[in-house]
Amino acid sequence: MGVIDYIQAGVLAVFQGPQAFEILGIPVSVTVIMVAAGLLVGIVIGATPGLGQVIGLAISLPILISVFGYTPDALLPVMGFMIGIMKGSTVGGAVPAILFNTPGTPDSYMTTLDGYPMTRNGQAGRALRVAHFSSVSGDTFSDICLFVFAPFLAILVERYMDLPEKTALVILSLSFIATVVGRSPAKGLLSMALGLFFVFLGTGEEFYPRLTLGISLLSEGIPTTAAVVGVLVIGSIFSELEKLRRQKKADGGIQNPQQAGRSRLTVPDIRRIRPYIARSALIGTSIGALPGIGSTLAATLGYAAGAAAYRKRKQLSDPDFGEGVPEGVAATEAANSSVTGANLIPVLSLGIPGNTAAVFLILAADSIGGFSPGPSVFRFTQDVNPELVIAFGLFTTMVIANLLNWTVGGVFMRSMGMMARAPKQYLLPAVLLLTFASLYVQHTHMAVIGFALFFGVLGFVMVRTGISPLPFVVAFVLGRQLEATARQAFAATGGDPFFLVSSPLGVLFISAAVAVVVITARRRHHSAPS
Amino acid sequence: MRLSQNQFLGILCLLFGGLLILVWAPLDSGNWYVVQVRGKYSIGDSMAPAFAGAIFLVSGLMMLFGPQNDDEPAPDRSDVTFIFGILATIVVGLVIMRFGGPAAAAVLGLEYRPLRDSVPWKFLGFGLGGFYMVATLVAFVEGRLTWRAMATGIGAVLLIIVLYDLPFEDLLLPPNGDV
Repeated sequence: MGVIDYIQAGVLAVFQGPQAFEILGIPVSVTVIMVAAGLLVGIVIGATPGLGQVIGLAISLPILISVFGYTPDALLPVMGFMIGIMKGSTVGGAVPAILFNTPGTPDSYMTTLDGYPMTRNGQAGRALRVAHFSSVSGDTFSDICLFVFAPFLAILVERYMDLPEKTALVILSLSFIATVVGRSPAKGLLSMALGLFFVFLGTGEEFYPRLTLGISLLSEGIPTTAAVVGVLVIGSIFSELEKLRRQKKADGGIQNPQQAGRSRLTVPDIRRIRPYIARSALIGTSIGALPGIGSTLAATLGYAAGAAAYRKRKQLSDPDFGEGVPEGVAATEAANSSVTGANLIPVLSLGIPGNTAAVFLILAADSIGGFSPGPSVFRFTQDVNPELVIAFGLFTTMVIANLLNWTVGGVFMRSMGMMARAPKQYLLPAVLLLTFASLYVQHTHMAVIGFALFFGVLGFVMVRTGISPLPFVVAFVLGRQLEATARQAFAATGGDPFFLVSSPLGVLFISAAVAVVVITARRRHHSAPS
Repeated sequence: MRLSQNQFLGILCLLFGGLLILVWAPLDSGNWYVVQVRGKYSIGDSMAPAFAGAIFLVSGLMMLFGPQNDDEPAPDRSDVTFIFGILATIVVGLVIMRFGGPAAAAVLGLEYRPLRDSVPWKFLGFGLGGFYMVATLVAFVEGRLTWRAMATGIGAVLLIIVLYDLPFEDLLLPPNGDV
């Protein structure tokens, strides 16, 4: 099969897969329905402060697997729904940021800087439309880059990398994520070390369960979902509840924001914001393609670049960035949304999750089976490579999600103002119970709730000590792969102790892994206050 | 000399990393760092934990000798009170969830296992424990127990039953997979 045949097969897998119903005799596939449902659920989740795409993905995964089962037919509907959530929550996050000065997601914090002043000036509707237009534009651009670069990169990896180089690449990715995420490279490395330590508990090649101290509960290792959901979801719920409790103690009450006015977006508005969207989309996509660098940095850089360009053009009488200008909203939203598609470049081309959403895609693929994100997917063989068909099917679901986002996403997003008023102190405990229930239905063992609770406390402590949980999660997900690849590489090189640096590419990766730690640590050292 | 929070954390990392590499990994794994099988060397089960231990060491050294900021976030007494309070609430909720149904059945002289797939038994433990957990957590954050907190508890339990149990016959709510 050629490239065009595979693309065609991927598109057909989406549209001619299992059928949900017919409209005027035209069959509508389950995958299309699931992408649409995921997008709408994602917008609701993004628009609800305290929730977010990670909670949405964690809760929906067991339900989706229960509905669709463990057959290859389940892959596209399940992953399509998850992609819908990723895209929807990015758009929805702007709603509470603009209407109530409350970022629905961490990366929409910058949106509050101009979005909320626009609301106070009676331009809430215009700000929401600018945010939607910019967000979907950035996301679409990012997806196009994913479609072009992921297969290309994967083919390069398969052609030029053997087991030692792949091991070195995983080490480089872990080192990069650990040092660039968060405020301290040392704490990033600690987070990574914790992730590796916990994933190695109870596992190994020998019959003896390692590092368990004889505790039988640990002998089969720690369930990945319990650790990931515990650190990310439960840890952040604890953190939010603690903030609310402090607020209650300090102010005597918990503040929930009030509604504001609306207005429209015009064609001249779109002309005004277009260069800001283009600049931010480039910034966001470049940042998103690097594993571990999140949309928050993209939003910050996009906003800073937009502010610099705006200062050069603006008249004296024009308001500044931060005083309620649409360009500020556009710069931020285009940047943070264009991270979404590009973030999937490392996971699809290298098998390395670049962000938490990608971690859940890997969990879904692992749970269902039949698809292992990584360079081996992009093998254009003469016989049908089913994984490649699924990959092009996934690209198709992203296009569908974008089309829906362009058409109905904006209307739905603007109607979500009410979700931002949901009081967090009632919402978060209910979400916690829902998270426990969703973990239980997957594993049907109370111990998994115990594990998740333990990792929730760990996640809370990490947040309170300034340790980013992302390196932990990525190390936990990649730990077993790292060990297995290293074992195979060591055996394949005849027990060469220097197998990681036995080729120029290996030397390059390991040197880069060390250099990124040293350079980042030195930079932070010089920028640290004395 | 007074240690900063980072330096304290760094020393803990060094101690844990050293313990992991030198004692825990080799003594509590199936074999050592490298093993020889039929004349060929291969990586043993101790190697991966030792690699994690090495990263603990690097991280510890960087924290011990790196820049020390006074504004590093650190947990305070309020965090400790909060986490113990929230843990106590959740653990009590989970205990009610796990033993609520079997205890109620025992009071009536019945065995829970044959009843666990029938209404209302299959919802009893989850309902009681879930309601307690949600209502008490809301009360813990707000500093008082309100009708809204209790309504949230009931609403959350009903929502989850509607979401997981009613549409799916094969999904088990806690604790019905354990009992």
